[in-house]
Order: sequence, then C-alpha cells, then structure tokens
Amino acid sequence: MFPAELPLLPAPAMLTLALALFCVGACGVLLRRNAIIVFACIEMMMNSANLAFVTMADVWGQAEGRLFVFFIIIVAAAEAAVGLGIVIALHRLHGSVDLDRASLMRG
Amino acid sequence: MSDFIPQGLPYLLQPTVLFQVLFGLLALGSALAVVTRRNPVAAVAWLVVHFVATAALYLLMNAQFLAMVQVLVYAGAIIVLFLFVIMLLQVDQQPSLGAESGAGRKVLVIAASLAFVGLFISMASCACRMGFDIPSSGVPASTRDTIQWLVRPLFEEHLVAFELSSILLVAAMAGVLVFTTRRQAVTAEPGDA
Amino acid sequence: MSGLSWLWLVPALPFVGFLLNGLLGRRLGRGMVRAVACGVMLAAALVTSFLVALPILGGNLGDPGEHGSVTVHDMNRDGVGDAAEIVLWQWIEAGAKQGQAPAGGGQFLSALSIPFGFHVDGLTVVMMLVITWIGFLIHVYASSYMWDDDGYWRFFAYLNLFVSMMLILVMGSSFVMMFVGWEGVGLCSYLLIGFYFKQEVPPTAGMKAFLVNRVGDFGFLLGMLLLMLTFGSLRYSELIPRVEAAGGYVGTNLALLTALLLFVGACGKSAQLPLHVWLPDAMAGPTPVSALIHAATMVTAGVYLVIRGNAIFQASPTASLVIAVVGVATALLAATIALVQNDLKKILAYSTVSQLGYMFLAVGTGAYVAGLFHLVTHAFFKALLFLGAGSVSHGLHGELDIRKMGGLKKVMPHTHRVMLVATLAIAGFPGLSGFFSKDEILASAVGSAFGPSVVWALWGAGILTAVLTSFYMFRLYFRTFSGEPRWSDGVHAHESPWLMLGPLYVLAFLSVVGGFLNLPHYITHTRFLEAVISPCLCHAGALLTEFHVPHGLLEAALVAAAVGAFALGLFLAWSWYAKGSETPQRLAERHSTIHGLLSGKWRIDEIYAALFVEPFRRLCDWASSFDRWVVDGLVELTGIGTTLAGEIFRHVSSGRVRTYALAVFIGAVGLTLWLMSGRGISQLLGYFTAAIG
Repeated sequence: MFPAELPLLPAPAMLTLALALFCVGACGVLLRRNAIIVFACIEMMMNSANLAFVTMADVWGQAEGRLFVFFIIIVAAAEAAVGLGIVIALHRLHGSVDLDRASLMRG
Repeated sequence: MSDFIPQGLPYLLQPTVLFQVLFGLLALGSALAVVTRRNPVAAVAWLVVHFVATAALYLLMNAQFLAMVQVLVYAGAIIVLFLFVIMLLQVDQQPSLGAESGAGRKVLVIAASLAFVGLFISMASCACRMGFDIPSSGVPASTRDTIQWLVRPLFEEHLVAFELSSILLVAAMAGVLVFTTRRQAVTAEPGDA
Repeated sequence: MSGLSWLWLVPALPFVGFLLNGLLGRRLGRGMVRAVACGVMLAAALVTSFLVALPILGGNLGDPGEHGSVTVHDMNRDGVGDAAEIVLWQWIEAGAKQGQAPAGGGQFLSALSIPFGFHVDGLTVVMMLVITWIGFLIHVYASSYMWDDDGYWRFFAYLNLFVSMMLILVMGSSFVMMFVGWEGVGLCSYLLIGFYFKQEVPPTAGMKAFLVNRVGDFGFLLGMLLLMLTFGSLRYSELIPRVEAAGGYVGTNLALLTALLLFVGACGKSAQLPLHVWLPDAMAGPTPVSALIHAATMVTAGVYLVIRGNAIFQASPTASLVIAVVGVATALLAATIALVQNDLKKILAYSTVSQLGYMFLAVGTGAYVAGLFHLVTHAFFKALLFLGAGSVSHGLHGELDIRKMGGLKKVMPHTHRVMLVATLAIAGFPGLSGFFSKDEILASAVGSAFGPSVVWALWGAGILTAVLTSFYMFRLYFRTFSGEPRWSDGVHAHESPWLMLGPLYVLAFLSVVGGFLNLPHYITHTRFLEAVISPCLCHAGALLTEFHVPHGLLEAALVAAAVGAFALGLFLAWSWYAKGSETPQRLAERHSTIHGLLSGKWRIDEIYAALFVEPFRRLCDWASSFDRWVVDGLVELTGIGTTLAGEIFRHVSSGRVRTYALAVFIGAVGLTLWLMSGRGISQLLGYFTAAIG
C-alpha cells in the first residue's frame, strides 16, 4: 500500500508514546469511579501494550510480536464481555456503577 | 513507488513521519479525553477516536491486518458493547461519577500521579539511552507486509494457543450468561410459588 | 501323679466362669449365671481336693525329678519329693541362654527366665482348699443374697475372676506369677468394692483401696527386683534353695532391705499399719465380697507371702521383729477402734485387721505354722461372721447399725445360732478353732527367738488384744441378738432363705472343728498343718533354730491366761450390754477424748489427709494454675497476637477496588524502577544492545 522503505519514527519514540498512553489509561483506572469508564481505560492500557508489541516486532523482526497483539485482542474482547457483564451485575446489586459502593469485602 | 514521495524534505516533514506524529498526538489526546469526560457516552465516543488513531498507526507501520482487526474488534464490537451497556443501564442520566475531591481522593491522585511520573521518567530515560537511531530489523517491509509472515507461525507453532483462545472466548461467553441471568428462584417471593 | 498335670484346671475353671458370665451373662439369665458361677467353683474345689490335694497331702509325689510335664522338687533336701512344679509355657525370657556363661560375672547372674507355671506344695494346697471351698460356699450364699441385684451377672463375673486370680497368686511358680495374681485380686477388689457404683461412697472406697495398695505393690516390686539382682531368679524352686545356701547373706543390710520391701507389699495387701486404712472403707462392697475377699482370702495374701518367702525373712531377724511389732501394734490398734464402732460390718472389718495383725505377729516370730493355722481358722469364722452379718442386714432390709438391732434371737434363730458359734470361735472359747490358733500364736510369741523383754511385750499386747477381741465381739453379739428390738419403724425382720443358711451351717461346723487341723502339743503330737507345711519352711533359718515351744507350767499358765482373757471380755460385754447397763455411756462421757479418738479411728485418715492428700492437692492446684496462667496464657497470647495483627491489617483490606489497583500499580512501578536502576538497567541495556548490535 505504502512504499516499502518509507522513513518512520524511531522505535523509542513509539515506545514512549505507548508508555504515555499506558499512564493515561492507568490514571483513568485509578481516578474514575464509573465502572464503564474504568473498563474503557483498561482497554486503552491494553491497546498501548499492543502498540509497544508492534513496534518491537519490527525492531526484532519477529512475527510473534504482532501475533501477540492478535491474542491480546482476543483476550481483550473476552475481558470486555466479562467485565461489562460484571458491570451489569453490579448495577443490579447496587443500582449504580459506582465502584466505591462495591466494598462488601471490606475487612 | 518512491518517486511518489517528494525527495529532499526534512525528516519530520516526510509524509509518513508526519502522519505518525499526528496520529500519535491524536491517540494521546483522545485518551486524555476518555479519562476526563464526565459523560460516559462522550468518553466512549472519544474511545472510538483513540482506537481508530491507533489503527492508523498500525497501518503506517505496515501492519495492515492488525489495523483491520483493531477497527473491527475494538472500534466495532467492543465499542458497540460499551454503548449497549450504557444504554441498558441508563448510566448517562445518573449523577456524574467523575474524580471527586476529598482528603483521601487527593492522596490517591497525588500518589498515582507521582507513581506514573516516576514510571514515565524512568522508562523514557531508558528509551533515550537506547538512542533514537535504532535501525529497523533486517526483515524487509515487503516481507512484513504479507499476511503469511504473520499467520504462518500462528497456524504452525502457536496453533494450540490459537485453539485455546477459542475456548477462552466460549468460556467467557458462558460465564457472562451465568452471572447476568436473573435468578428467578432467588428473587421470587415465597408466595408466588 | 497324672492328676497334677491337670493342675492348670484349677485357676482355669473360675476363669472360664468369668468369661462366660462376663461376656454372655446379660443373655444367660440369673439361673444360668448362678449355675455357671457355682458350678465352676464346685468343679475347681473338687479338682483341687482330689487331683491336687490328695497326692501332695498324702506325701506320694514320688522321687524328685521330672515326671512328664510335672517336675518334683525336694525343697527340704531330705530326699523325698515335697513340691511339684508344672511349666505351662515360657513367659518372659531375656539374656543369655541356659548353659552359657554370663558376660557380667556375678554368682547367680544368669538368663532371666520366668515361666508361666505353677508350684504346688503343702502350703499351696492349704491355701487352694481354703480358697476353693470357702469360695464355693460364699458363691452359693451370694447366689441367693444378690438375687435381686441388677448387676447379678457382673457380680459373679468379677467374683469368678477374683477366685481365678487368687488361685494364680497362691499357685504361681515364682514371685512374678504371684505378682500377677496379686494385681489381679487387687483389680477385682477394686471392682467389687465399687460394685454399687451408682452410690457415692463405694467407688471412692474402691479407689482408696487401689491407691493404698499401690504403695504396697511398689515395695513388693522393689523387693522382687532386689531378689532378682541378688539371686538371679524369682522361681521358688531356684530362689529358695539359693537363699538358704547363701552363707554371707543372713543378717546383712541387703537382707533387711529386701525383707522389709516385701513386707511393705504384704502390709498393703493385708491392711497392716500404716497401710490399713483401706480395709474398713472396703466394706462399702457387697457383703459376700467382704466375706470372701476382705476376710477369708485376699487380705491373707500378705501372710502367704511371708510364709512362702520365710527363708528370705528368716535371713533378717530384724525384719521379722519389725513384722511382729507391726502385726501386734495393728492388732491392738484395730481392736481398740472396733470397741466403739456401731456399724456391724465396720466392727468386723477392724476385727479382720486385728486378726491379720495376729497372723503377722505369728509369722514375725517365726511361728509360720501358727500363722497359717490362724489364717485358715480365721477364714472359717470371719467368713461366717460376715455372711451372718449379711444375713442380719438381709433380714432387716439393709440395716447395719447395731444400735437399731437387738432381739434378733427369736426372729432369726438359725442366723443367731451360727453367729454365736462364730463369736465364740473368734473370742477364743476353749475347744473351738479360734482358741487353738490364737493360743498357738501367743505361745509362739513367748517362745520366739527375741529377747525376754521383747517377747513378753509382744505377748502382753497380744493377750490385751484377746481381751478386747472377746469384748467387742460379744458386744456385737449382745447388741444384735439379745435385749429388746430397737429396729426402725416399718422393718419386718425375717430369717434368710436356706440357700444362705446352708453355707452358714457348713462354715459354723468348720469353725468348731477347725482347731483339729493343728491341735496343741499338750493334746496330741499329730499336727496336720505342721506336717503339711513343714517342707516349705527353712528349718536352718535363724528364727526356727532358736525357737522354744513353751512347756510345762509356763504352757499351762499361757493357756489359762488365754481362757481368762476370753472370760474377762465376755463378762464385761455381758454386764454392760446384755442387761442394758448405763456404764458404756458413762464411760464414754467421762473419757470423751479417748472415746472420740477411738471412734475417729485414731484420726489416721485425717493425718494422711494432712500429710499426703493436702500437699498433693496443693501441688495439683499449683500445677493447675501454672497450666491455666502460663500454658494457656501462651496459647491465648498467640490468639491475641493474631487478633491484634488482624485488627491492624484489616484496614488494608478496605474493600475498595481502586485502592487494590493502586497497590498493584505501585508494586509494578517499583518493580520496573528496580529493573531500570543499577544492575537491572545495565542488564536491560545489555539485552537491547545485544538485540540491536
């Protein structure tokens, strides 16, 4: 599609971008109370991992790097289904998706 | 093919590099938007933008298959699932559940921020020490383009993992069915029987 | 000869009775239980009489040596076989085999070999006859006396087991076998004293008997171990000749210690000072048990032990003197207590202790024949007294207080008749069995090898005891049978059935004629018992060689004194109790201190409680509080520590998902930082450069 030997950003730049995306996602997970958005942030964190995998697959010339992205997408899909199922159950239990209200396991 | 690209442009103004930077910034910005939007519908909408920008990055890195899967699975299926749940639960009409302020919350925010600043700095410094001039691998882009390069190991060395992933999907589906189905026996009044 | 190979049947038959009654008794029914219990006893008595007693008492054991399974020994070394030993199987074997030289040296140190076997001689046969025949009579009596008891089969199972164990005690071929029976009868005694275990007193009394006996058993065991160390064997056929042959042994401290330790065992079993306290309490058991175990057989085991080991005791005249002194002191002390008791069975119990003291006086002075003689006659009349007392309480609905009796002469003519015979016998009415045996003991005390002052002190205490015996026995008789009835309201006194009276008459007959077993020298020189147990005695021993039987005027004076003692006691009891005199009350009020001391049994139980029970209880309290505060405290400290730790750490588990997520992230970041720093970072860089380069 594109010319084969086009200049690209160096791998560390892409890794740094992946890291930044990971941190943003992690902050969302830690700071938001809405379970749905927390899940969205988890998806973003996985996405950043995917980006790092693709980058390093090109650096090391190994197909497994990209293959893992494929598997991670599978796991992410399953996890999203389960996670959103949990959100529904949580909502049914508490009438809200506030994670702080799901504290039955408090010691 | 290469005459398609104007020669002599500075590195950053090369179209592919330019697009990478642009889509990278877009991905970052949309991610920030997902975290900061109060309305879950808006957040999920920004999530779509984020996923599409990432797919574009894959495309620029000659990972066309992954880009397509990204758009189909993430931007398609998962996002639809999110929206469906939001509508089902009508969370958008509920009071905002943003990052509220409070003594404990402040501590949490500061701790999380410090942790991630530390993480970012350390990782970035590491990346800087690697240098920005890492050459790409010896595998030519033409090879990386092909779907065979990706799929042959999938069906040869990693076939078992591939098949196991299908079991994982089925198990997840069954699990979700189990704990989202209302249990009539439990919720029903004794007098109904 | 061939009869002796069936020797094992004698203890086996009651044991079979025990197994049958004990295992199947509940289903057999009372009639069957009675038939089994009395049947095995009759069979054992008949086997004893015809298969065992005839050859041995007839003196036709044959020449010394092995005759089939029976080994005939010549214990007396006069060339005539006088003891038969039969080994059933080798029981305990250890050390070097026979014939091999012992590694450690020592004169008699050889392999430890204790067979499970029996040793019968005249002494054994006399004991066996007493046990089986009196046991049979008491079984017959008890089969009627216990008829209404719920534990009928249990009672006879225990009683059969007791007879079996008692037979093993007297028949065993070694001190170890004797100890087996010794412990077996102790167990049965415990079980039978506590037979009415639903009441409060009997189980406690049983435990007391068991515990006091343990003190004695401890001494017995130590004495046995000393004998084993010194002579290398505990089999009579080996041990006794070795003791007699050991030249330098006589009079040593070792001999004294061994004899005294064995005597401690005898003291426990035979209720001698200071271990006599259990026997009066043992009266909490059923009356036939008191008659069989605590009057006729088991309590005489200590006397049997001393006679059986007379060679050991004669080796230490000091120990024998101790035995005689303890015996006469016990006799006197128990007699004084018996003067003021009001419980029919308690009086008889103290009388038993007193009479046992007589027996120990006899064996202590070397008059082993007299000791055994009194053992046998005492078994007759004391069993009769207990059974008669049982008959009285049976007729009075369980009443045992002599203050609530009186006038039973007319209501219970048969019981009255036999009780009168027994009372005359024990008090020493001339011509009856008790007169001859007691007279012989007192005469032996005078004739014994100790110095004149000791001898006359022993005799004086003995004759005083005889007066007291006569007095308290007639007091019992008059209070029970003559005078006006003082029964509780609602009591309809009645005579006992013939199944109970039959054995009483048999025992009364034996009490009358028992003296003919060993008539004194001034009547005849054909003395049956002396002839029978003479081979069992060590005639070379210090006590027997210096023994002088009183003769002539001295003998006549002694007999006159004995008759006078009987008459004095009878006269006092008659004048005070037969006519309802006020004298006893006056005396009791005037000397209330002495009266209180006597009815309080000299406060010996209280002294023991203060000396042993209380310190032990305090030790237990201390141990208990140590356990409660220190041991339990440590355990509880663990619990408190865990609770405290949980109280602290439970705040970590806040239940907030995002707090957990934060912890995970902090951990991940920390891990990453560690990897990035120092070695971690150089390693990571190494990977990168290797991958790139």
